[in-house]
Amino acid sequence: MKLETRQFGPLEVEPASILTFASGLLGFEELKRFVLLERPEIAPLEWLQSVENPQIVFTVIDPTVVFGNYQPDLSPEDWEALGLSEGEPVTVRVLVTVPKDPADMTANLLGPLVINTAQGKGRQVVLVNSEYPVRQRLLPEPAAV
Amino acid sequence: MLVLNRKPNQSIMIGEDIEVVILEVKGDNVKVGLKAPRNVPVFRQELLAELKAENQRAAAQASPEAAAQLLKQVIQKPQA
Repeated sequence: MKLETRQFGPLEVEPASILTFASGLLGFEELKRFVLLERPEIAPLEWLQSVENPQIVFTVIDPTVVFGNYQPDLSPEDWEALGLSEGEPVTVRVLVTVPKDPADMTANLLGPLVINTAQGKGRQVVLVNSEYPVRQRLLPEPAAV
Repeated sequence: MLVLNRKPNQSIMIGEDIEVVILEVKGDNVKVGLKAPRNVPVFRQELLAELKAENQRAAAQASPEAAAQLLKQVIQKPQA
């Protein structure tokens, strides 16, 4: 199907690749459908483009690329929303915020996106009992001069 | 909004299995205990507001290409 996007212009996407976030993303509750796009120009980052709003696109990253031991602990409610049994494999992405100076980019480890790829279901999880930060630097702090 | 007056050690039931207990009132601090089933998410309202604001920030950014270049340099030198 054809998708209108601000970032990429018209885009042809497989209907099967559309992910449904039944609860939307926090602050974007009205947007339920997204596609995950891998593009060489932003690898290892990926795009998460809204299907419903061409203007809305997020950058995400597979957290294991940078944070090898990152382990979001999902609640029974989260597993149910994803249509999975506890402990089944899920795809995890974290939202990346890139400020003016890209070296200061941060990843949101407290509110990861978990995805059941086979069923095209996604959910932004809030890891209530974890110590993970909302803004975790992806690059080390610049050394003090 | 429903408004109720409670004293320390008194509680409020929400449905049959969620209990909010007022534990202590000291100056402008109220210590609250919560008993809820594990599948009911409980968190400070500020946390949700913070996550919403962060999502808004994440969506507002322009072009992450420069960020991707920086990341590539880091990943090509994997830490032990």
